[in-house]
Amino acid sequence: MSRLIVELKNAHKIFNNNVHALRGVDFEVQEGEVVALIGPSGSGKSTLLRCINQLERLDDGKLSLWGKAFGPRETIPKNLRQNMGMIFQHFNLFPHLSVKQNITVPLRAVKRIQKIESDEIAEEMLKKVGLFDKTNSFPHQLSGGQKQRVAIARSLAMSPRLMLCDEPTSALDPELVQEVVQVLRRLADEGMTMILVTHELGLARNRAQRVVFMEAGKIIEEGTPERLFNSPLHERTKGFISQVLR
Amino acid sequence: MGVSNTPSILLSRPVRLTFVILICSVVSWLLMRSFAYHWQWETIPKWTIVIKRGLITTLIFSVASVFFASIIGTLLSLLSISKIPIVRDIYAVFIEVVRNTPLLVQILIGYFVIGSVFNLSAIVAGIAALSIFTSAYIAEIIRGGIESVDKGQREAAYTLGMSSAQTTWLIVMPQAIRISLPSLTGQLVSTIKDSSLLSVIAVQELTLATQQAISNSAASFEFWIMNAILYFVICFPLSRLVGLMEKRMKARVS
Repeated sequence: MSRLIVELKNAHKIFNNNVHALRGVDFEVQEGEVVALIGPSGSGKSTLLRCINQLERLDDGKLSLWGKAFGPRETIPKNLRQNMGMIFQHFNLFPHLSVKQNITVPLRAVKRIQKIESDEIAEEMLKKVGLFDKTNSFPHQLSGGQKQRVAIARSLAMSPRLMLCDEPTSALDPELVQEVVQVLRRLADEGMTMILVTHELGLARNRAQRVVFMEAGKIIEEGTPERLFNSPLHERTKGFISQVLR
Repeated sequence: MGVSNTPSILLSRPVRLTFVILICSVVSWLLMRSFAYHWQWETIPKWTIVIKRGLITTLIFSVASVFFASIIGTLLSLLSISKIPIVRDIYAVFIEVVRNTPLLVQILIGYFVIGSVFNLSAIVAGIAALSIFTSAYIAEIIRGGIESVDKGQREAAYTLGMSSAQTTWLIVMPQAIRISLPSLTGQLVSTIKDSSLLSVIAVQELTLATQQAISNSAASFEFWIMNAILYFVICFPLSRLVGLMEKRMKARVS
């Protein structure tokens, strides 16, 4: 019996400019599950992801994490926030810190561990994403794919139990997408719970147990990748998939 | 038409500048000669010790003021990004008051009003007034730096579990200060020039030393010209350094 770790009930988000980004979304993720969120831009999939770790606050509805419920005005505690790693479209590496420091500075600040220990973790994580030789480089010396792999290593160093990936390959040159996809694929194979907002339908098809199609702030339909990609029920899903796969 | 793409040597910038300086020198020399004034440049060396001491005092006061102002300004800039509205209002009021009253008046109030209440010497009151004045400008420079740091930086730190204070000091501030460095150097130039106002409360800096030399030698034209030249000689290279730093920073970004 797997455990429910993320649950959104009737989630609403209205931005200051009156954009109604989420219109009553019900969404849940089981432990160990890999869920892909797809949909046209502006459909609310990134907002949905950002509401899970409260980068954006819900305006209405309920968020539950590992069984603890939070209303729109309740702040999730720091330890739960640390359980959720996040990968951004534009990497968001710290440009004034070396690759290694990008991992060790937050690690020491958050976990209050010794330098030796944080250095060891950083090296281990960099090996994991195949960038051990870039330990002392600075972000501006790396390619986009390398930057994203460092960002993944930085996030993994906090030993998260859930990874939120916000279009991790969208800002990459086409030839660099695969190196990042490979790292994410390996992560999925290791049993990491992941929510992927992605245009990389290959990754969604290969590794996701469930694909969720969103449009205009609502979940239109969801299902296994085979079912959703091969025989979408909804006209709009059909339209989107045929457009993207063309 | 036979127009060459490479600019003629006669039009290159160093040549143009030399030309401009030469013309200005000749014009000034002609003007100076036309004055009914008995020039006595030879008195200047007699006052070397006084002038040198004044110059050193100016530099010490300026560097000390910019140093204190950097600390105060950095802390002030944090008020401007506070989540509490009243704290941001306090910041705004401070900045507006300091920037919309003359520095000369601030120095006079610092010495004759606050200084006499707390029994401060001219040196302490002077450095304090100059530091507080400069801190308002530095706070605004650093606030600009903070605002230019991409918001994704804060978001990344947040998702890694860092606290708001850790994010500010470990992630945002180092980048904001780096971005602000050229403007901060520019502020040092302003402060060096502004420090001449401290002469009104009898701080023995360059301008007061100049006045003393004049009152004892009656060579006012010579000493005022020398005074201007000395400020220029210190400030001009620093100003060029600012330009250089900005250029380097642009090169790094692109």
